[in-house]
Amino acid sequence: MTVLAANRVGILAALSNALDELGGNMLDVSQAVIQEFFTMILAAEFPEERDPEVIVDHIRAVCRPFGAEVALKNPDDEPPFDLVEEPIPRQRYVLTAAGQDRPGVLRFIAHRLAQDDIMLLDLQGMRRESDHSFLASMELAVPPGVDALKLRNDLDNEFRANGITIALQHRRVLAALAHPEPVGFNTVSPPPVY
Amino acid sequence: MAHNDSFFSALQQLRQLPLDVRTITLGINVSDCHNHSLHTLCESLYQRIISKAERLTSVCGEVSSLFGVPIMQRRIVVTPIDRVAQGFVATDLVNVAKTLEGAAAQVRVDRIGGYAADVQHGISSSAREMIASLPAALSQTVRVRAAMHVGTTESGVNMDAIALLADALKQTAQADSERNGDAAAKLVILANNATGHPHLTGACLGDGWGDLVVHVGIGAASLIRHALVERLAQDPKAPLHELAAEIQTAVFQSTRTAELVGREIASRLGADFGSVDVSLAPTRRPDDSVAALLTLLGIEQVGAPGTATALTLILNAVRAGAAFASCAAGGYSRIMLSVLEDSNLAAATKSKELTFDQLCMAANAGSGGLDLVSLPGDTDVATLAAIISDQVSFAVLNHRPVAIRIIPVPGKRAGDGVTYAGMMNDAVILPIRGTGLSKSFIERGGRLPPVR
Repeated sequence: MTVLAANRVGILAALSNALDELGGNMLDVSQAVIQEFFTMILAAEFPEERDPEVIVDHIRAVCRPFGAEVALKNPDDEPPFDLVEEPIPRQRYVLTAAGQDRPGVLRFIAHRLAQDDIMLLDLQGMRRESDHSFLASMELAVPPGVDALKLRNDLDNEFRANGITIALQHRRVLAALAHPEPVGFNTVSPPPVY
Repeated sequence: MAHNDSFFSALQQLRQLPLDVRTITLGINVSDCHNHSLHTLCESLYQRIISKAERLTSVCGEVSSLFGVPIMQRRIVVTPIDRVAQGFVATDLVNVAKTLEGAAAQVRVDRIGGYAADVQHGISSSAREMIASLPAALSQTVRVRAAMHVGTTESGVNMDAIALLADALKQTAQADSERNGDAAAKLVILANNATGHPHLTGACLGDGWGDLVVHVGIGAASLIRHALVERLAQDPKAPLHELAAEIQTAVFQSTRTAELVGREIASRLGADFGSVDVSLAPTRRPDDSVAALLTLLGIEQVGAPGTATALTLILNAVRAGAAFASCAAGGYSRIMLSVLEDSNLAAATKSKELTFDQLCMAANAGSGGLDLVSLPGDTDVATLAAIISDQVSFAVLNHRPVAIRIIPVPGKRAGDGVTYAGMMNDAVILPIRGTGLSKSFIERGGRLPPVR
């Protein structure tokens, strides 16, 4: 379900009230405020007999003061994804790009990542109006056999002339830098992504 | 606003460090290869090295790709050959050196160390044969590095050994005269450094390590330069303690990353993880040199008054950063003023701004001795021995390790240019003052008593 509404105090209270009244329960949620909009993507479960139209109408009604727009999908009604028979373990990296904003940066990066069969797990980014600089950070799931050094150099070579810096770091490197304990004592590596 | 300026500054911390792992060193225990038959000894040394190190290069490549960190050099070190190959004559030992060379070439590593002996108290007949074998062993191999340990604070300095080595050094340079005495650069003379120092050119697997151990070495010059440039861009008048903090942070980050790389390689090879070393070695990037760091700190030229203070500041910050980052930081950190590997230093010798005396002074202020310094080929053996013993006795007095690599370049005089294949820079032969005036002192021989 996605919810888009005016960002005013009480929106989350109203939304969770509506879910409660419907007998719903959140499974996974991500919320952000983009410009002046409250946005939320969530997965929730509802009692078996609950009609999807009832759910959408009830949330709209409760959240009317915030002008909420609601979209709902039932995974059971969707055509199944093409699943790979044997999923491969992927390494997790964080890619950061920063510099002067110009059109096409994300497009280039996304195409380059798709070329290597790299999945995007998370993307955050913003443009700063004061100096037209941008910053984007994405978490990647990289299949075996991809040379991180080459990937970074390729992206760096593409953007360096435009003053855009690229950093690509393995999750374990970031963990080693972020934890106060020495390496070898903090080696809880994040689970592989399939 | 989903993201604000604090998001910006938090993400900017995720900058890419200009980190290269300078060396991955695999230590292999070959003690049990000892045999009275030369053929059997060489065969078992060769097989041992191949079996333990054959995956080293490919594993380094895999881990380098995984973490996105380039690895510059792969090295092997073995148990000191002096202990494994007892009772052989010099010509036999040359064959042992060639065996090491062959094994190193087979597993595609850049250097192999362990052709070494301890002579700080006295010289055994085997060690004497090994010293005699140096000219042939080093001029007929490419990857083999030799080391001789001549003194410690606790045991004093063996002046006889130094005189013998100075002679061997000169002969080694002569034997390789068509390559400007390059072979002499492969011999390192050590003091206060049990030969087990795993990060030195002539290192070997010292006592107390396991059968197979991986060490990782970082060249910190580029990192520190990067950190200082960024800080100085924000505040050109930043005081020294703030710059020291920047150095410490950069070293912390790179030590953590390099240790991760080293531990991953060790676990893939089934080896122990040994130690991390952060040293100020120049890299192949332009301006990544100690001389460039001094310029950033405000010393316009290496050797100017203040050089020692600046080197001390850098070295202390490096050690503090490394010590907090890792339980395996070896405390080996040193500043390498390698003239032939450092473009800024090489340029300074050409413009005659840097003299031999200034290098000696800098060597005693935080750097680990004279490293790859070219001297006139007609320098007499006694003067070479006196130069070595000066460095050794400073180190012994100050309780710190020292490594000396000097090249008396055959047929060249002070002021001549000299070029080496494989070294990045040309240098100018540095004149030495007072040549030949220490002959009687060196000829006395004997030992310097321990420092109390």
